[in-house]
Amino acid sequence: MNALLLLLAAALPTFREFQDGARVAPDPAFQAAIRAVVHARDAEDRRSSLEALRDLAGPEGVLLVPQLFHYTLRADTTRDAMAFGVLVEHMALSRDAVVRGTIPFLEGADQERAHAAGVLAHFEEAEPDRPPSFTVYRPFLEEPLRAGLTPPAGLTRHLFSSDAGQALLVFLRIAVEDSDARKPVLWAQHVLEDLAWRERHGFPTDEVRREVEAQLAFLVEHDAWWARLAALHWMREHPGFARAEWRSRLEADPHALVRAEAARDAKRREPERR
Amino acid sequence: MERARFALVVALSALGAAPDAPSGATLSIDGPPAVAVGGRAELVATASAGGGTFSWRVAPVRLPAGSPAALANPRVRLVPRGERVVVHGLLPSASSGDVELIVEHRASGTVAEARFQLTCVEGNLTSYRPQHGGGYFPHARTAVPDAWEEDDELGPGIRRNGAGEVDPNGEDDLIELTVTSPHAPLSFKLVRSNPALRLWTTRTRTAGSELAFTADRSAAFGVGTGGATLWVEWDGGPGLGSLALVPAGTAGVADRVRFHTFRSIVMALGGEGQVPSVPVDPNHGTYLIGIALYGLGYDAHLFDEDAVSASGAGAVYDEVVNSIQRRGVVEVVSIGYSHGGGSTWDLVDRLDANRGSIGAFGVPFTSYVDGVQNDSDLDVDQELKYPPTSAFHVNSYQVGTLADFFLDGGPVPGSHPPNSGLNVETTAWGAGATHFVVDDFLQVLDYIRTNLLSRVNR
Repeated sequence: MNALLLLLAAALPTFREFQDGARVAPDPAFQAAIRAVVHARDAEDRRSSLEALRDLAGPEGVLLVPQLFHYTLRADTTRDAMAFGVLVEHMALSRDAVVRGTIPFLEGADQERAHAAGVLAHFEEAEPDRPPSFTVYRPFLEEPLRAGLTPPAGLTRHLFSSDAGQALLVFLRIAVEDSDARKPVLWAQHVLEDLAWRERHGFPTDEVRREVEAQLAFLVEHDAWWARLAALHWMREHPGFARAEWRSRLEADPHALVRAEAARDAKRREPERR
Repeated sequence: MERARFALVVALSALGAAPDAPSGATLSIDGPPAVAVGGRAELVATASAGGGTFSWRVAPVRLPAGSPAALANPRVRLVPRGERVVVHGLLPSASSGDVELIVEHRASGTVAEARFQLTCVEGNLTSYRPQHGGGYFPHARTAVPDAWEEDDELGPGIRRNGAGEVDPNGEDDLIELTVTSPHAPLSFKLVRSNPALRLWTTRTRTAGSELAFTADRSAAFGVGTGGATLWVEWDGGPGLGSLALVPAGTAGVADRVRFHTFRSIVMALGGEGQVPSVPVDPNHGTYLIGIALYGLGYDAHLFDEDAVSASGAGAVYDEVVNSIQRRGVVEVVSIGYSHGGGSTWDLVDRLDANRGSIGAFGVPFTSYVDGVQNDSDLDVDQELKYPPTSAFHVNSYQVGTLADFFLDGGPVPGSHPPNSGLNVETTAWGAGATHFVVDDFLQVLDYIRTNLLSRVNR
């Protein structure tokens, strides 16, 4: 890696900066350059504007991605809003550059998080009959999980709220290498996925209730915080299987992220408590 | 409705009585007379006779100044089975006057005569189109035009709100109904034709705010100078039902509105960067169609296409499933521009995939305008797939160039116009179109609207 690339890599958020919620701010020069491309007067103007943007973007466009994010976040026309996808394609920006440049925005406010999720969906490839793939996020999860740390909270929330079952599998495979040690969690994931499948396709769920409750209890009491977080999300999606004592336990969870998510759920349920 | 502004409501008292009739025939004039909607006063005489020719004469009435000629020369109508005489006419707004009615049975020489004091009382009902969440946004508060308020299709639509109803956005299924009268303060009642209709004085059905009905006639409620607002709920199976406005203490109907329960739900999905607004952006063609359909009595929803995820899940899907499972909706429509076209496919595909748990429904109509797949905010691929199970799909597209970054939809086999939709650039009006204007052509919007109207029930 040459000196320029090292410099560019240093400009991108590290894991610890993710933790601090560091996000690249909009840069007026970048924003103007993007706008010049999007609103070019003619073909020649577009060509020269695109060249100017390439010069700013740096190798693989790593500096451009957060700026495109800001530009389209504020877009109020289809022409402006489509600029991210159009320029990713026209400038052949890499998957890694887009993902790396977008993930920090999952730490932002609601609108930023929603837009980041809309961008990242490009690499998750979910379909009605196919769960999202989270493989693309492994590089961002491995370092902290193997060090016993919590990955970026925004990314973690995004994964579990998108698909708790797939998130659980990714975390399990990174954090637990022993195949026998994986099996109880794999079984819990299978049972709970079967419940979701039954509900989605109109099959009875009563006959699996006992097993579902057993596996939820197993996850709620699991040593790994991400297993407990998965249990919390499953109870959110299948409230008919949730138990008050499990909710209370998670509201007092030793892990801050689990506790915060449980508190958020408790707040959502406030109207029904009254 | 317009004519209701002239509704004659009350004939307060009969000032005279019919004389005894000779043997063989009896005549009487009833009072107070019933008054029908539509500015038509009905003074009713009943008669029986022992045979012979039976004819009627109604004397001119003494009217307030300015009364229409129609009342000065009342038409007489014999209703054979009931042997009733009915006098039609109009009184000016908020006027009163004496009316004399003479009925003669010429064969027997029997005469009945009565004088009534008529008072014209105006009352008006105005119903509104459905709410969304805590108000009307993304629609504007939209009154049902007077001329349509008794129409089974164009009149007020209402969502069924029975037991088990889930409101993803809070209670928003009640229809606003305002009552006004120039004679306020005055008391009115509402008469319902279907017991599924319930009335509340609060939009969220606060306990204790329901208006009680006895034999389908509501308790009296006061209408002040600023009018009164009620909220109409439909708590029952699908159907039609009317509410008639009756001044308390009378049988006359001042105005009437007729509700239809929704059988369909329409989802209008804009393109990337388009969000619903009030007032609507005139360059957001998909929302213009949605708003037009809302005004024509459909349960039309406007959404940012990002409310549909790549898997089809999200707020739009939840709204549709809830409407099928809890409100008896059986027809689902989705229309979309650009990424909204891709989201239309995603939505319909998910509905079809999960059909087993959703319940019975059909997709009578879908539409893309320059559809672009929406697997993410970055997706720029053409949406060329026909929406699963759609009975009729309209597809309009243009061919991308450098000017629009080569963004475009494309032919979708099986769609309309046959056989794969319309490339608008092959028309005189659409030549040179770009992705960013193709959703604004009136011809494109009219084709969608016209075909939807003829294929989708309210």
